[in-house]
Amino acid sequence: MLPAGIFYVVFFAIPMLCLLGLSFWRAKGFELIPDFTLENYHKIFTSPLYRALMLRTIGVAFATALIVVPIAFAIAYIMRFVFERRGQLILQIILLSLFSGYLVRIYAWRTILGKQGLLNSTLQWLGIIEEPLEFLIYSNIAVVITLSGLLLPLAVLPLYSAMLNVSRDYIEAARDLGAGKLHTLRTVLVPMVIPGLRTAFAFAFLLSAGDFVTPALVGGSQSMLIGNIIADQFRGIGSNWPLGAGMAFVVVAVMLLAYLSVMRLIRWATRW
Amino acid sequence: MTTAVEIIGVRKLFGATTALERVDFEVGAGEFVSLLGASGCGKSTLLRIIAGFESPSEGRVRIHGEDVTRLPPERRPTNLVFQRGALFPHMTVRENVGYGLKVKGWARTRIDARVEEMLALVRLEGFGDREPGQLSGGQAQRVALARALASEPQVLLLDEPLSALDLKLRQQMQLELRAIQKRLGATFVFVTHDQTEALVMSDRIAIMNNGRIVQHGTPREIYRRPNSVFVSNFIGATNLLRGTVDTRNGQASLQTGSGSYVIPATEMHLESGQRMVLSIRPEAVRLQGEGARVNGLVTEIIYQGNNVRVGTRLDPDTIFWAEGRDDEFDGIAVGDTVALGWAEDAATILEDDGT
Repeated sequence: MLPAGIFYVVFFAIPMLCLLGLSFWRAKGFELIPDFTLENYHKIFTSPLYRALMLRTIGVAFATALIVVPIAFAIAYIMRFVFERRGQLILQIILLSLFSGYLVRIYAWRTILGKQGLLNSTLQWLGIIEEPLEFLIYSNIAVVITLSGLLLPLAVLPLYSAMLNVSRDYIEAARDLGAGKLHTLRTVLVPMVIPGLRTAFAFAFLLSAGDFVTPALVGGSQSMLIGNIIADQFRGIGSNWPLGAGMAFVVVAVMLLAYLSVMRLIRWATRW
Repeated sequence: MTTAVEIIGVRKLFGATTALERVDFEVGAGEFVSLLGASGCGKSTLLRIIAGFESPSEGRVRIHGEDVTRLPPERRPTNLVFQRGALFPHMTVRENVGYGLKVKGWARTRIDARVEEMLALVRLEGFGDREPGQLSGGQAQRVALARALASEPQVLLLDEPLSALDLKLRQQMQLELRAIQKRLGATFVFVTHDQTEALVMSDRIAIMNNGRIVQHGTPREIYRRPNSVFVSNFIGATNLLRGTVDTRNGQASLQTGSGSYVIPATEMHLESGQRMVLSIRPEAVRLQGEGARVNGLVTEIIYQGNNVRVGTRLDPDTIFWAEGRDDEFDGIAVGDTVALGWAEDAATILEDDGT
């Protein structure tokens, strides 16, 4: 535990504290002036742009998590309870897909969702649509779909590993005692994999909330997320590190709140 | 007695392997029946087919006359006690026992009363608020039993529920389980690989081998009159004398390497030259006993406390065991030659199936 504690302090706690301290400083041009001012936070909470981006980010992150977690759950379930031993093989394939890299995968989604992309041309070829669907690329929908595709493999891993610890006996015991398939899922399997569900949701929700590359590459003019504006505070002309640090901390607080509310909700929905 | 479970021509194939070969079997209402066999004999598969977790490749299953072959487990009037309990770890003992009742939509107060009743039945009053992780192995299996019995299944299925317990506890639980079954008048189908367990608990035992029921009957019938070399070997220890039948002189006898033995009266048709096996239980063998006699050289004396087992060599290939109370073998030492005998009708003649 101690080495982990040291690691945590050095590589997480100290940088975060530095950032927190920074959020009370001031910036003048490219100069950082130590201070203790709430000016940055005041700016954040009174800016309509910042609020709009925050709401959009929460929406996109929720939408992504709502798509990713159920699909990941189904994939993990099939790997664990249908394929059984051969589920390990699928695990290798999923791990392999992560090797292809983050940017490559975003570009891959661009070729799928683009105006002349795989999806549009297939749908046209099948005669389902006549004109390409414009909203598939450079839109919020494109951001959600791409983020879902990126994060799905990550969300499968904790769910699969949690399900490996659930003996088939428990599922059978519930069925044997009169519970149907859905009831068994709700009252036995889901409560038994809550730690995995929590991690999967955290991956999908928090990573998409913090992403700023995907909106830049597949999003439209109205797809900017909070990550983009924070990133802007740390680079180039008009950067403002103290303001960026403050924004980052507000995001952390809001995401933590959203995350905890969802955990509450899951616990409530599977209560027995 | 009405029939609780009917297994009609059930076969089960897993891919190319046959787990069950046409099994026909019945369990009477209120009966305690054990399915006994070594691992891989098909006993658990048969139990899972009755529970509804496997569907037979051929054949039908009826419970109290109703065909349940195509019903999923949740719609069958059976409950299963799992080998490792399978208590839901995220629920308390009370929630575990009440699970089936809650699923059935019972009212809260009725569930609570029933749960208390069930916990009293398995002598775990006051354990309702414990977590499964806080229970000993024996307590966990008792809770599993209470959970399975709570909704009064027409047939209770038990899949080696005692096999993970140590010997003393297992013996105690065997008696308890039997007492509970008698008190409720319930039908129990119990799977085990432990022959003593089956003998102690059952009204009837079905012995399985290679996907077949090879013999069924009361424990006494099976122990005293095994119908095959396999069964006589599987249930208890036995001495097997292999040889050829000789029916001249009007009295059938078996000619073996170590001598000629009288074959007791049998319904089997015996002809001279047939290869047969005579099975004699060690405890039926007496020193200087009446009846058939054979001389053996004592090679081993095993002291078991209440009993002593003495191994004697009849001929280079045959070790013959006698078992009896300690004082019966007083003064015998390895290297002595002893005369062994048994009552003629204590022996069973069997076909030589090569096992």
